[in-house]
Amino acid sequence: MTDANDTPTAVVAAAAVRVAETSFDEISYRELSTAVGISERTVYRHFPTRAHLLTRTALALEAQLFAPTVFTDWAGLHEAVAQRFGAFDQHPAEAALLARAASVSAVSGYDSSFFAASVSALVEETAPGLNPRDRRRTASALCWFASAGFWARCRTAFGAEAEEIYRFYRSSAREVLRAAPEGTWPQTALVGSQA
Amino acid sequence: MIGPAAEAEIIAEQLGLNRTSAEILAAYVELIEELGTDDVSMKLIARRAGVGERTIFRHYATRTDLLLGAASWADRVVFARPDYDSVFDLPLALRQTMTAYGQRPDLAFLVAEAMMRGAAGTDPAPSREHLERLLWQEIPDLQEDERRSVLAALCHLDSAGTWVALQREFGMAVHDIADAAAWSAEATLNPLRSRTGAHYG
Repeated sequence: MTDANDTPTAVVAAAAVRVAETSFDEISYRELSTAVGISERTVYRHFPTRAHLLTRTALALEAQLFAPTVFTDWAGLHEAVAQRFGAFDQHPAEAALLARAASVSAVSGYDSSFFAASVSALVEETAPGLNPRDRRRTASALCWFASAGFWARCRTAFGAEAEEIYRFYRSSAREVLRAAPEGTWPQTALVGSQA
Repeated sequence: MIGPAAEAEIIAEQLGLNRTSAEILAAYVELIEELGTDDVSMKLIARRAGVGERTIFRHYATRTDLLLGAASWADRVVFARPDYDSVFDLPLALRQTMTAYGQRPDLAFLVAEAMMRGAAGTDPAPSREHLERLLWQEIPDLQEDERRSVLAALCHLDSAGTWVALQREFGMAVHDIADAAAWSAEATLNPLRSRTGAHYG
């Protein structure tokens, strides 16, 4: 496990396992170094700050537990969100870490997720007549209501579960789509947006 | 020194903080802005707040407690929401709030992250009470499920997380973030406009 390429992956895997058992802040570099069989200094070399570790661990957990379904139409997007929220309820500690990682300053510049790119593509394809500003704020609002952050906030502050959070998402998505200038959306998008 | 004096004292009381705690948090928040979250020592906080290091530990047993305290303080004092007494004024207030986050990004990230630590973190929906009261007053016949849905959406938008998400995932500039957040809140409120109580309409 001391191969140069595998070390960070092994550290992240060791951290990911612990997320369900304890608060992320309690996971020490020392215990990770012991688990992987390397020195603590090596852990620091790969993850100079805890934000680096947080980001990488969240990415690994996302790939492992919450891999987003590919979608190319509105029904597919909504289904993907429903599934994601459902998976978050199944693994709340890991989902909360995702939400937390999304709210720290990006470790390496601005990073658009696969999900955000897919939503943007969907909006652009369905409503080519929408001006760039409306397109961008529509896509960003949809993503923000489909995010782990929305799930986490609704769960902590409102005691809501996946099913209800999905309904919140659907109402918000419906209003956001309705807010676009009249005639911009083809009928198919609006039909897809009805609850 | 605690920011704009009178206001900060009221907020300290609301957060259940005594004067010393409030002074420690105010000092820490100032230092985070100057040095970043990773580089502020206890010694420095103590000196800035004019207390001993032991006093800090008596008020905040762990570094995490101190960080979470600073995050609530920053959101309530540094990013104090403008006063508004109609829920339909939230979009305008949001513009101001998002602009304030954009002017102090380090603190905005601190607040956003502290709210995403689950039950152990800071309240992820601090504007809930205010918005809930306005909704009751202005749209008294709102159904329970609809009220929850609108409230969740508005609280979500009125958070540092919104600024972070729009900045990080969409690379938006400060002005565009303020615009997008206000626009989303308008959209959320649209279906309620025709339903305000008789005494308003």
